[in-house]
Amino acid sequence: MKKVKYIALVLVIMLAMVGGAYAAWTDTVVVDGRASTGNMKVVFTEADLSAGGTYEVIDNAYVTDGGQKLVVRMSKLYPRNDFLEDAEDEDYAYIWFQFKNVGTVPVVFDSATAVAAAGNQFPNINRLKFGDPSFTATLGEIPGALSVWSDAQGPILPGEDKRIKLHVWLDKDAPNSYQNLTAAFEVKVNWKQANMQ
Amino acid sequence: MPPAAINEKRDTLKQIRFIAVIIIVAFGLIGVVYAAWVDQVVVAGNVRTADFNVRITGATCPNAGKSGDNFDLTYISGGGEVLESGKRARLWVDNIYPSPRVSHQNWQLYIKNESDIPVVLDSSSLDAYSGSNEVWNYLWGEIHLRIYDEKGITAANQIGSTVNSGSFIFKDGIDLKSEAVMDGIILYPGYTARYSILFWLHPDATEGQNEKIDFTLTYNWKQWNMP
Repeated sequence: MKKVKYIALVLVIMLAMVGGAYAAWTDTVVVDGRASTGNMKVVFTEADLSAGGTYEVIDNAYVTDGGQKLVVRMSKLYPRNDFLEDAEDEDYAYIWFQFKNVGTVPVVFDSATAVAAAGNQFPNINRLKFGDPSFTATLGEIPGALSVWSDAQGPILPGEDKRIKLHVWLDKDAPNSYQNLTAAFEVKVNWKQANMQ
Repeated sequence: MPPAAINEKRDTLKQIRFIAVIIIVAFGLIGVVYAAWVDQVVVAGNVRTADFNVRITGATCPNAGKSGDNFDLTYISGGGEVLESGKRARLWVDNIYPSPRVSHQNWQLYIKNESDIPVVLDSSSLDAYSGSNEVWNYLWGEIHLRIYDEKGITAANQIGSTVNSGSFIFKDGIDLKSEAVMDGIILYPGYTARYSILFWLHPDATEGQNEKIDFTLTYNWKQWNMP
């Protein structure tokens, strides 16, 4: 009889403890989250050549590699003074190209390569000179010139496009051996997020 | 028995009956009089239990589309909405890209104790997360907690104006950090906990463009006085 009473007492205590745990009320709230990343892409969209004055250049300029590379071939160039020395003179070849930020992130110029391309006949491609009212550069100096240009422009926003037009000529000191030659070069530009400068 | 004796007994029974009727009537009258003197006080036994209700009252992405400290983050969009009477919320952000911490975005989550009793955070968990590993591995965050009293004034008595977690990788820490910043903090009836969930895609993320991640964050609350 005593045992029965003892077991009953234990059962009562256990049930009371179960009741106590159950009595701890709870509530739950749930949050569903989603984060999507953007993308960064800038492409050359157009490129062309033209000539002014007595110039009659020329050859062609085109965009390749899905918009990542600009290739230019130029003929019939001849030596002349640097652009800054006679800026009013229109006897120049012109190259212009356009690129567009087709991504979702603002970008700025990061770096570039400008080198001789297949079909180039110039012994020294840096006899080719470029300029606009603010600078004069050889092909090898084009990346630096683009950097200066980018700093002045600021970020290129998503959907925005930019057009650059450069005067092109043959260095005034180019020797006779540059006659009847074709210059070919290619330009690649690397961009970076505008907020990571 | 002689007839005289029978008649005497009959009379005696009549008397007893009469007395009995008189006594009944008398007691009846006494009862009426007694009933006129008593009054009754009724105690209505109505015990109402407390309510336990923790609810999300706000979910936003307040800085999306606004300028950050060092660059225009206009192109990031985001938001939030409260669902299911405050038992669920949805937070989202689109077009995030690598940035330093200073250019972080943040979600704000307002969780209010609408109970009659104080509550504490029992546990939280990050569940059902999916999507790009590259994003998960580089999505960093911090949690900043602020408590408002029932009048909407910062309740500084428990934690000062805010308590902040350190920086952590989202998938490793958002649930644990949620618990850490709420550790020991009692949310009294009418009080609101504002979780600011800061986040940014770490600059070391070189991949992960055009990706998305999904996750579910669960907050479990309990009575403040239970272990």
